[in-house]
Amino acid sequence: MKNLKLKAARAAMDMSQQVLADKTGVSRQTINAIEKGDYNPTIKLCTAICKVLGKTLDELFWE
Amino acid sequence: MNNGSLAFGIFLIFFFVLFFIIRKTSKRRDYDERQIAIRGEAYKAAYLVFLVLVILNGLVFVFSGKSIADPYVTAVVGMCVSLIVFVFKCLAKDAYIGVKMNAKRYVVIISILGALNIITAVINKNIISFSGNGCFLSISISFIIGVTFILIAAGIVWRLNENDGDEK
Repeated sequence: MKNLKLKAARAAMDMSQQVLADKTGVSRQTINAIEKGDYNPTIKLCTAICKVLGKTLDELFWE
Repeated sequence: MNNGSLAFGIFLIFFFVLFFIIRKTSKRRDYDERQIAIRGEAYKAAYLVFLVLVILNGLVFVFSGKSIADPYVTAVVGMCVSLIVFVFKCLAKDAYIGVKMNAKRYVVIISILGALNIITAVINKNIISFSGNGCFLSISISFIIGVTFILIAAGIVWRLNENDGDEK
């Protein structure tokens, strides 16, 4: 299932996938895979993404 | 011990020494968690393919009394096919290159290595022959390695071009 919340939060900050990937220390393809729902990130990566986007885990990853 | 076996032994020793030196001196561990997981799956697939090739070779020998090729050629072909399976599985799932690695530099190095190996095989004029010697085939190891490197380089270039179309 696509993670539209993550995509929306990233777009709201006018941030590209590459910038988010650089700030979280992963590849752009990994951010792309998370947004498309092809990959379930670990809690470590989830928290890193939340910190960069200023959101909570619930806001981005809870359905 | 014939010259081919000796050359193969030297190649293996050189390969493993180089592998451990690179592994010990490399400070970068820049594959992310998704890439590491996919690389694990790719290792598994490559290992299974190698096993299948070894079994196939054994079956051909049992039923025909002849090997497909010399033992060291068979081993190198098995390694190269496994390597291609590993690389292309990683390429297919976007785990082909680390976060901070320069893909274009690797493509250039791999292409040069491939071209040099193919040129060596062509100069020696022993690319492939249907020999006796207890085997069906005799293939130049340089040619096998050259083709492997060229295929890998082509695969990376193809994947880089594919990714240019993704959302930035």
